Amino acid sequence: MKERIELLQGTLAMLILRALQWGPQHGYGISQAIQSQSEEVLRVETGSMYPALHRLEKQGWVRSEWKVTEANQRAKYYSLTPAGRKQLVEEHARWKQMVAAIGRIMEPAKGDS
Amino acid sequence: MNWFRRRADDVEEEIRSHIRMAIQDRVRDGEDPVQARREVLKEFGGVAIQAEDTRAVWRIQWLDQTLADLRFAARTLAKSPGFAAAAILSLALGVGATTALLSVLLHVALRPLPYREPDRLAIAWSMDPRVTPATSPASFPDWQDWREGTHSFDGIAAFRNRPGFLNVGDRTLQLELHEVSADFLPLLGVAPALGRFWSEREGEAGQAAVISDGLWRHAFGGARDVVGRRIVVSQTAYEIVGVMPAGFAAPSVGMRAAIRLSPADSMWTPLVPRPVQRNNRGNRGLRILTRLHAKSDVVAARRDLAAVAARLAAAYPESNRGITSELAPLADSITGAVRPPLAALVAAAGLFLVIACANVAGLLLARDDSRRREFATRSALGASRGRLIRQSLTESAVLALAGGAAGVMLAAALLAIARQAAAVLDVPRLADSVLDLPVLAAALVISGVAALLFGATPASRVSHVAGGRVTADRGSVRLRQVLVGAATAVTFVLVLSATLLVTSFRNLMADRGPANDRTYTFQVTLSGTRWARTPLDRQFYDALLQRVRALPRVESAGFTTGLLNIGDSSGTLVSVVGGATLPPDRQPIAGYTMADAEFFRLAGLALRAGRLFDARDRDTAPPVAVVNEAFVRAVSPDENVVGRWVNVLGVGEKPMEVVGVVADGRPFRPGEQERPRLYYPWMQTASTRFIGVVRVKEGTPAPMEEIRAMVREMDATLPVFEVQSVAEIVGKATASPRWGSALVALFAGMALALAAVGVMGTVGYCASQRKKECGIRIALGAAPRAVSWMVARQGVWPVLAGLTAGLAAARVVETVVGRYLFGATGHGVAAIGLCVAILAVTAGTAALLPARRAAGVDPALTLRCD
Repeated sequence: MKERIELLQGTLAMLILRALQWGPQHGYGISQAIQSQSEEVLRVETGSMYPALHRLEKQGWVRSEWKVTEANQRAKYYSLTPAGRKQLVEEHARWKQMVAAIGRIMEPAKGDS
Repeated sequence: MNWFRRRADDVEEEIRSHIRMAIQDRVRDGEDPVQARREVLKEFGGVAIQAEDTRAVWRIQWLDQTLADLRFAARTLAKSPGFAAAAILSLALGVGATTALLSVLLHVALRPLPYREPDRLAIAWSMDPRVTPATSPASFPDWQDWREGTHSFDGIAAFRNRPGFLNVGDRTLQLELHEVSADFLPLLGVAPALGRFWSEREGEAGQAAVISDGLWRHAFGGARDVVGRRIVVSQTAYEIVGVMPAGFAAPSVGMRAAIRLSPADSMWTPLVPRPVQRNNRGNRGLRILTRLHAKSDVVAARRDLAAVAARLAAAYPESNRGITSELAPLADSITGAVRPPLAALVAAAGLFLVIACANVAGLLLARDDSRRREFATRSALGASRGRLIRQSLTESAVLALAGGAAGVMLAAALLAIARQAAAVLDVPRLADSVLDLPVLAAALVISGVAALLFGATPASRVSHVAGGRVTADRGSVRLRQVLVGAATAVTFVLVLSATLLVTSFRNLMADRGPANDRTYTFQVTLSGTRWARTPLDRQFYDALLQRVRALPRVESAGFTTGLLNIGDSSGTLVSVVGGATLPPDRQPIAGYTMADAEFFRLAGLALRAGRLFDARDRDTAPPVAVVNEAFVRAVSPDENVVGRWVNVLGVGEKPMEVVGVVADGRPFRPGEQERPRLYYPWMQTASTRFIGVVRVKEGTPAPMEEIRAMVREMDATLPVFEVQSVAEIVGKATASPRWGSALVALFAGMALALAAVGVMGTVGYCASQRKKECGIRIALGAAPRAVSWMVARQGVWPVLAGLTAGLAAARVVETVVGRYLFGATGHGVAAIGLCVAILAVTAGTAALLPARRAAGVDPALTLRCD
């Protein structure tokens, strides 16, 4: 059983927005994309993903549409809105800031003991 | 809601499609379908929960919580139905009474009259210092002079009215016949719905008539061709020239010379004064309606009128010496008499609402205290203080809404009763009191404020639940005691007022005549018929009286023109021949009333000196008169008046000899005194209108049908109207104090019940809090009575404090209520003593019941139980 790495709060939303950056996708597709792109390290709990998705929609960063898949079945496709794109950029920048800060603490620059 | 459901289904479908796609992928990878499905579902977790969580994202947070709070509040209230019922009932009573009375106040006293610029209309009076009350009608010459001599008015019109009758087919319709000057209706500014008003010239002929909408519908069935029709009203022919619109009512003269609005069946005809009225300045019978000039106000107009009156007083000392004038806005004249009692009633209802709210607050406090445990647990489980407070407030809000809704229904019912009472009470415009939107809104606001008020107190107590200490809270007991004390004080005030009013009412009704329910009155008018001429008028009286007395069940019968408060109420100047020449301003005005010997007995007027009319007093004999004690007091209090001769101004040419003195009648209003009266025998001067008074033997029915038949036999055009028993007349005259005292007594009773509940609640709460302590004391050997008293004490001393406060206010109460009291006010101390006793007994019982229960507790149980 792979260990589940707990996502920091708020990063799930960012990952979902990222997954949608290249085009509309349905919920299953988003979870598969995150899983595969993280090389199976991150497994998204559907219990948190769907509420997160709907929250994103409520906030106006994604919009949804019922479409028919290639397998001729109905699925709800989500796509980024312009506001969502902007939000993704902001969240990415914040994330990079945080990673750099934590990195400075955990791996001090050369010269310190 | 459809949108919500669609969204809910959406989420379901979305999750199912996710699962389906996951299964398909696995199957594509070569897994067994059944196995794949199982794995996917296992990985997915609880579908329902996730669907719910997803849906929850869309819910409006606060709405959700509020709905949950409301459901919870309703459930908890349902669990204690007794408490809920008591609280909702108290609120309903308070809100209902206040709303109903506010509504009545609004309609009767505050709504503007339905005329053009109603605040410019005013009623003018002559003020005669010799008469009580001093407001008097004006005489025809005075009115003309007022019109010509003043400059602050757009118009000064005259009006008077009397009952009339119209024969429609074989029915007799009773209506109010208003005799008004040509400018009266135009002055009000309401145009006729059909036709027009009459001109001055037409007015002089006196044949034109304008009818009311009510009369138009009742007598003519709303026929549109009614204009131009000729009708005969009270034996006079008129031609209808106009019909007033629906809902229109003009000022008119009502009972006891009060100005009121005309009844539904009314007819306005030109005022054509008789020669004796046209020329005699002392004959006052006209009411005056004025419209102020746009540039003038009441003060200036009043001064203007007073100046003219003063000029007249100087120019005509014989009739006008000392006569001044008064001007009062029309609205005040109509509703003035009714405003004080109405305001008092609204105040009483307000007090009642306060008590009701205090009681509910107390009940809520006790309940929340008993749920301390529950709140402590919930707090420990993570409920925020705000959440608990909101819950408490929601509960009070539910109570307030339920109470408010019930109160509104009660108010509607009360108003329906009020509309019924309008017919008897002669309160202007009471008949239109409906529950309309502004008052409804006010009622809901009251409930809302009440909710906040008594939701806030327990809620703030709740916030002190920190760490779950569950012991008796001194603060909350103190608060409850203060509430009980306040409720007691207010209840005392109400009970005292009620006692005083009820006693006063019983004084009013005492000794009114034991045979009132078998004494009947009816009115007949002879004007315009051949019977109006002497000697036929006396022959008519004779014939009718003989026939009525011949009926076997008739005990006695007599005639008059004024009885109690019905009939003629005009007065005229009298002077005693050979007596001290009184200055004209001290000359008495006496009610000039027709009577016979039987009448005095029927009216309960005992003979005090001399004799009553008898067979000696024929038309050929010298004119005689009988006077009442008030007359003696006014004319010659020190000297004997029997045997003296009096002159009555404007009526007879010959002086009349006073042959007897009878007792005064008993007035119907507090502080009122019977006016001087001079009675003359119908055998000598028969009036063209009379009231017949008939008393039948015990247990026999009214003789009205026979009397109607007798009158019809003598002349088929004469109707008999205004048939009522003396008991009904007295009932109508005393309706106002009766209703008022009944209402206040009702409030007092309810307040007493509420206060008792409050005391019981306080003592009960204390008892439950100190259960352990009581158990210990009893186990250690304390007498049950001592333990009872220890608990009861908590409820008794706030009652004592409240009583003291109430006693301090007793003097004020007596002064305020004193205005409406009839009869001796020496009963004050007895009334106070009675009230104290009532309250003490009620409070004592209310405190003892739970206290005895506390003492009867088994110490083994209380000590073991936690």
